[in-house]
Amino acid sequence: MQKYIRTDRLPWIYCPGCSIGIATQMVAHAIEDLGLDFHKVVIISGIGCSGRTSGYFKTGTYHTTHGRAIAFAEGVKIANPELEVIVISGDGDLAAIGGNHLIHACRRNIDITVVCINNLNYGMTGGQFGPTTEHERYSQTSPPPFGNVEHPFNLVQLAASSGATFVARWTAVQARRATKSIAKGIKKKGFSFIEIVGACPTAYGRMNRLGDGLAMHKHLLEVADIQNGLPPHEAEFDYERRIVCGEFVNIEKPEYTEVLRQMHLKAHGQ
Amino acid sequence: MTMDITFNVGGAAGQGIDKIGDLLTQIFVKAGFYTFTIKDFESRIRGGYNFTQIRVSDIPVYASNDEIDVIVALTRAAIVGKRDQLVENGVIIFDDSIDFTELEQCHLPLPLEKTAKEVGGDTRMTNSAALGAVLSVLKYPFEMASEALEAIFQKKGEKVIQPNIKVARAIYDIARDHFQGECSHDLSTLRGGPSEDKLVLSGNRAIAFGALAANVKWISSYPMSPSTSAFQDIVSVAHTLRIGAFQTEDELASLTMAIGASFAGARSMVTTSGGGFSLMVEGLGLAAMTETPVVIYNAQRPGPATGLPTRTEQSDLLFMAHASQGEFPRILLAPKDPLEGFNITVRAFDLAEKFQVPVMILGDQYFADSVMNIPRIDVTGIKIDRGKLAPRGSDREYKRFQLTEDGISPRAFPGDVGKIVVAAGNTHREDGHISEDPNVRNEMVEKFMKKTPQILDALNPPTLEGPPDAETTLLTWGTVWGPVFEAVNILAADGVSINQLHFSDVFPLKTERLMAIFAQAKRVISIEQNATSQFARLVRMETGLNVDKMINKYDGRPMTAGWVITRLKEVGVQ
Repeated sequence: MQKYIRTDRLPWIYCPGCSIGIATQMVAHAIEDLGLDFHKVVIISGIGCSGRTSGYFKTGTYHTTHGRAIAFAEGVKIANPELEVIVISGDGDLAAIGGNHLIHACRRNIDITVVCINNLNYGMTGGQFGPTTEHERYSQTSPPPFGNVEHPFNLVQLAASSGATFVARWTAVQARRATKSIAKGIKKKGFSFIEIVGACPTAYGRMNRLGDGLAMHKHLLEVADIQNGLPPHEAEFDYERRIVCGEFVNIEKPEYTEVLRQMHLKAHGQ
Repeated sequence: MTMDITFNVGGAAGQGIDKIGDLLTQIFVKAGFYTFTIKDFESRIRGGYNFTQIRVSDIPVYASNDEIDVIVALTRAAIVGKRDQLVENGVIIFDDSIDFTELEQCHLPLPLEKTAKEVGGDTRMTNSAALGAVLSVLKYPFEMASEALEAIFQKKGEKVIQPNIKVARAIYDIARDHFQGECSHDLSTLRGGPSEDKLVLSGNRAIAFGALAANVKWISSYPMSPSTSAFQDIVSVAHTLRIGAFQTEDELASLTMAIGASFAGARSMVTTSGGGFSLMVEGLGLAAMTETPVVIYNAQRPGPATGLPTRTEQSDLLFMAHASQGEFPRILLAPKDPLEGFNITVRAFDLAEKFQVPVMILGDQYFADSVMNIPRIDVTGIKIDRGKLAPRGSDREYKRFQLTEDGISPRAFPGDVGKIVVAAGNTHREDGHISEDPNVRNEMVEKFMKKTPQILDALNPPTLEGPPDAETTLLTWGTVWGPVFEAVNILAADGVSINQLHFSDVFPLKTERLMAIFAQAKRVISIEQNATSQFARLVRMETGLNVDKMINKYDGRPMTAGWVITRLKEVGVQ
């Protein structure tokens, strides 16, 4: 890992039992498996616990403002399509404040890879409900006895219906499968979205009495139901009972920077 | 006696007012005259009362005029809409199919549409008919117009040229025979004017051309009046010039993407109006914190909220000067006219890259939509300065935010061989990694602050029109330059001791010359297109100096020299 991770930045800022370290490893392994040139990789993140991931990589990195990682990444990728652009951020950053950028990037099909670490709440600010928090779950801003009034996004469905060409979901305990999917996503010429369902024992776990980090990860292993190729609308997410995992979308669609290149060539009569 | 004619073409949205206006402008530009055109339109797709007003002169003109010589009215509303501004011996031309019976001597109903259909075979040639009518009442030599029309329609081929000329000629003759009144101008002896200025340019187009001349490689915008046409002009050549031109989902994305593209090495800009800039404020801070150059063009309109979408105001100055949390250097430039708009845009990219700061260009609807003919611009002499760049080749120790004497660190881009580029919107160390160390924080804040004195050195001082020791100094910035400049000239010719101190580079504020002129003047009067004299307040904030009187216009309509003079007389200038 030392090859990829800045050991001078350690120890991590993350809590014991958090999944973000595992997800960071997944991305590092995927880069290793693909043999990518470090100088051609830019890792971009937003704000929040997961948003701090970029700073641990030895590649080029950019830590943007809250929610804007994808918008920034699109600028980088189109300006220099030779770069391998990877966004790592959380569910709140990508699907709430950055939700508009997410769906439009899916629609445009720009060749970037988004790894969304979904820990079901805003961890860094102390555990408020977010766009993926289930109905009636507790958080700092949806306290007992009533819990969350709202209903969550199913991120797989959101990305798939918005037009992403590669969509997968894994939990943090399925590290090898998730790593493969991330590598596939990076290789894919198109917009790839990989959700990594993780544990936030400090905030979400404690408030919803889900146990410590170990118990939460054990639970993820139990409820993970691998259904590769299932239509995305059937990719159920029910924390208590069943989290459907796998690769749900892998389709071909003209990719934005490639189309742009063709148009530029055409404009020059080639 | 100089020639100074004002035409007003009025009607409903979607009736082709602009087409008639463009034809008139081109006829006179080709004949060697100076023109200045404003567009006044409502925020609607069809209907309403809109107009284009064209001023033609044999000396350069920089603003619109209050008095109108010839009106072309396409609706009843347009027949009466500007009647009170019509000069004695003015003419109002309109189609005789409009139900209008309160005829006065100035009214000239003509079969415009009918002739277009019968002679040209297409009602679309009503534009040429209207043109023919205007030229006829002016006794403008038709042969000159006919030559110009051939050139104007040349691209469209003979099938378009000849019928249009025939229609114009037919109406020209009908009007000559029917017109009972008198016209304030007789151009029958006209052989051409002195102007060599053939480039007809709006403010927005000047910004677009400036950006292209500066080799812009990225633009990401969200459509917003009155800025949109600048974006469209760049989009229209994006594929040919290999420019990334991106219409985003919102302005948050526009500026953030432009910062991304700039981080990756592209010269980047965004275009917007105040409401869009409100969303960009977050990105402004990100550009500043990561020292990523970017150019932001704001075509201002009256706010707050939706305000008056198609009208003009200079009310975003203090907002843009102070937008975003935190403290950081930035540059604000406000062009006075299209030619300066071009030059300022070229400079904006260099300044942004030289100092690695956001540079903002403040236009407004008046500037954006006003059209002037100016000399051809020679772009061959334009040199591009990308500022400090890291030497090519491997450098494992490369630090994007390396502390330097002048506070400016050499830039490298992701993908450069042998260098890793790291940046963060958080306070960061020289290597771009997050740090909360108070010493690092101090170093980085001081790095920012070192830039401002250097920026001030690079900015242009204000200009002074008129004698330095005049009793009255008019303080202006940005696009009100034109009408105030004309007012100063008129007053000076009447013996008033007056000058105009004008700022196009507005922030950070250069104060040296300002203090000298303030010390000499008996009284200083600020004239601004806003309600709160924002520039005068900026001057007070930076120098402690007060203006003596403030003149403000905030109805969304542009100033004229006449309006300025009336206001000045009210405050005792004579």
